[in-house]
Amino acid sequence: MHLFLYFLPRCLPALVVLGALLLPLSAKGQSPSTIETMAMEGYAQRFTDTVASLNMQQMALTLARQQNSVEDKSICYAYLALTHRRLLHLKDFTRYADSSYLEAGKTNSPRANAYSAMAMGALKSYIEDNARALDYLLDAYRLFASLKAYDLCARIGADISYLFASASPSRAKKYADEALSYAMQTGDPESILHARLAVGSYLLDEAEPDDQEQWSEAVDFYRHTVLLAERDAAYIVSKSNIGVAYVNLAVLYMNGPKPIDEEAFLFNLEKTIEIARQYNLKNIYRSSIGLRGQYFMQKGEYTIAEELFQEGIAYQRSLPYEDNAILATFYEYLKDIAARRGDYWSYYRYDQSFVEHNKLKYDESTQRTLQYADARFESERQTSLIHQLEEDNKLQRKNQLLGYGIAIVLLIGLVFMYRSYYYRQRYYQNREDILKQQQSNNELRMQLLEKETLESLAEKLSLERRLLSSQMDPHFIFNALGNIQSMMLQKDTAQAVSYLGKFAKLTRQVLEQSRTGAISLAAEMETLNNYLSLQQLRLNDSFHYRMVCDAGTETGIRIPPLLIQPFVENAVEHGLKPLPPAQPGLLEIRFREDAGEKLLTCTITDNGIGLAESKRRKAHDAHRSLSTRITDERLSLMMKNNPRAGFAVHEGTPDGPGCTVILHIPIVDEDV
Amino acid sequence: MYKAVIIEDEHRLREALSILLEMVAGDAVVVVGYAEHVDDAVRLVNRLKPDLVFMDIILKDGTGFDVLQRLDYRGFRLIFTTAYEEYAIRAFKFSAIDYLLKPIDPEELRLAIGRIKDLQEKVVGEQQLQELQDNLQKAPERLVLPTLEAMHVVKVDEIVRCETSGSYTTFLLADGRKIIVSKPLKNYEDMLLPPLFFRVHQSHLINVHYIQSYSKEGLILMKDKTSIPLSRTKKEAFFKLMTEDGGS
Repeated sequence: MHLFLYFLPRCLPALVVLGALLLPLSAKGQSPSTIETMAMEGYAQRFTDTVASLNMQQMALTLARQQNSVEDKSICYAYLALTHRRLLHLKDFTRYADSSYLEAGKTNSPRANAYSAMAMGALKSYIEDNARALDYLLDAYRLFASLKAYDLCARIGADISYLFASASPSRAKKYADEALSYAMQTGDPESILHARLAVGSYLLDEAEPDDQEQWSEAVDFYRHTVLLAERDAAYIVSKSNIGVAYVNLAVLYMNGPKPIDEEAFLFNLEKTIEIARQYNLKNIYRSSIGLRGQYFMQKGEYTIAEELFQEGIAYQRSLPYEDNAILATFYEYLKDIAARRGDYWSYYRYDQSFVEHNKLKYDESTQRTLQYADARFESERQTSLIHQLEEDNKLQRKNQLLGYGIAIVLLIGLVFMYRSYYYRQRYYQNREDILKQQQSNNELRMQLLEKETLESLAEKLSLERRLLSSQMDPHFIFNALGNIQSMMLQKDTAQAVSYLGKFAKLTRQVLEQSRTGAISLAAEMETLNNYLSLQQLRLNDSFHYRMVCDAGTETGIRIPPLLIQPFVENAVEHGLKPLPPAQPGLLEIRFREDAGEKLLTCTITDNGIGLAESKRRKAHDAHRSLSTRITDERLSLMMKNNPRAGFAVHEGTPDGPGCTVILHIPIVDEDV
Repeated sequence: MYKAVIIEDEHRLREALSILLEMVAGDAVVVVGYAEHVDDAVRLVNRLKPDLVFMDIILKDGTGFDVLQRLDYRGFRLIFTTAYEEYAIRAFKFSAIDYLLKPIDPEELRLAIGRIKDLQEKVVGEQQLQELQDNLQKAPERLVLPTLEAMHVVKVDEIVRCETSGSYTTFLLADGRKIIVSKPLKNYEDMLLPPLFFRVHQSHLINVHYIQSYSKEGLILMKDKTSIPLSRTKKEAFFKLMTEDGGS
């Protein structure tokens, strides 16, 4: 039974939401400005003539800019965003939605705010961030209601209802009902059909075949809906909504009380196909094939069902756009049929196709998320630059502001570096999950060669992931950002810019070096210099340091990167920083090359509070030893080639209390 | 006006926080003192009896937790500040203690001050602090659930399941109690993790020890006789978890 319920509720709301975009947008109630009307008319043309539509909207935007009307600019951006959504241009969609939101933020105009919230809601729902989508759409809904723009309320209310469908059926019902009553107030057949489908969607979700009364209520509602739709077909632009109404009615009959009313089911299915043909609705036609397949599967006529699903797959493949979600679903049904017939050869074949499309489906959504992150980065960079230039003209404090501008751009850059790192991690995590899933099917495939290639792929993936993981301590990063924030708040621009410059340089060095197998001692010393001067700035020059190369030590020798920094960090954070202010800290890093042993000895001494005292003070400090532990692991791997590699930590220094660390680092051959 | 004290060992970060406080809550909060050492902090708070304490975790000669242990006066609201201490953040979440991440976001700060204004009782509960101490030492076993009327402390293994409705989360406990918290389920999903807990559905997080039975069709029957839907996308992972677990 559950099988039949899967297919339709999953794909139909998507169709209906798509249909919602076809509704002409217009905010009645308060009279719109000339520019708004122009943008709206441009938007209405998006199906018939995309170029003219975009031109007209751009013209409206130019006018709004000339008149310097923030409200109109925001509205134009919102329309442009929605137009690009329909064109599936995520980058422009994001950019315009952001711009709309940014402009709206500058004014109290409820109109601008409503439009921008609608655009942002559409964007969040497009990238499947449903929680945020709901926040924005509810805002837009409330604002449009107060503006008495009932057609937009009907449209947004229906969308809200779909978003609530799985989380809160009661709210889905509430908003669908409200949408319908708004639609009735406008009297527009298009809005009414759209809202009725939202109401019908929750009735369909609720309709249990055992509950005769509820089921009949849903059937009556849909029958009334299709009657209305047929009657007003001429006034309805989004013909696919008519098809959706018929499909849903057919589904209701199929899931109805047993024995099902086959005649009514087939009648409505035929109507669906007829409408799909009449208006050339490919998605509806495809759904009707799937539905027919399910029907025969339910009846136990597996051969016919199998043919139908194959027909559906062939049909989908003949379409100019890919839809891996639907292909995966069809293959899943085929798998199920093969399993019921005990035909394991076919099962294996279908399973392979299923896994392939399922993976593609997942990859597409990851791709979209990554694209979205990139688009956000770009648009935020642009908006912040534009913003910055505007301010510049107004205030003529150019140098100071330019400093802030660079700081903001770099900070956003850092945040997005983190974000994209996080998405990549997640991407690889999910890729691994899929691999694992494939392996669980291996009982059937054991004899095949695939296992070997899978294993090598998994190994490669985990290696890539390891390389991606950053070597910088997050605590240090956020502390540095906190310091920059403080300098900016205190309007110490020169200091902030210098600090930021050093921080950017260090970040770049660490990023570059973490990708290479070996760097020169000179480069390592430069990184350390950079790091230590940042720490000095942060700790108010409370310590001094010096770096010394013993005679005969060549700075051109090559060593594995980033081994020394964690120990230096420990010396500063846990040795020198806790010293009382009256006691000046001193850090020394000494290098000595032992050419015969192919070994570089690095001795780090600090006159800080020492190991025992540090341990006593910080009972909870768990993360502290992490970076040194990673270094330890790296060094012990190197010991395979050079048994003297390793490190030792001692209490005290030759000159008194403090701490001494001695590192034995293998020197790497040039060609490695 | 709330009297606030800042315990922070880095002078720049301390100044940043006072400027931000002036910016977002200049009419509600006044900074009356600061300290960067454990001893100074204890003396300062006992002497000034502030309404609000911003507490850094790592101080010059110890930690913010040391300060809390040694205080005589505790009639203040507490907000921890931290740059990056994962273990501590986890403990804060389980103990329902407020915290801010550095660099501090003015909006977050404004929200935190807003939360303080909402609460009548401004004392850091003895019990809450005890929970924090415990949660810092080992993997958290108990969870503090703040509601309008009280701070409920529940054992993690006595939570049967959590259910969301919008921005509220309902906790259903083994003894039949229901506690409704005004935080979204997402908030707790990061704390109540597999293998003990599993998000089976957009609206449901369940404790797998309280599963009575489950069917391939995607319905899970719990020991408290409720049935929970298993979402299609979670199926694979759920069955895998159950078989690895020995299929209880």
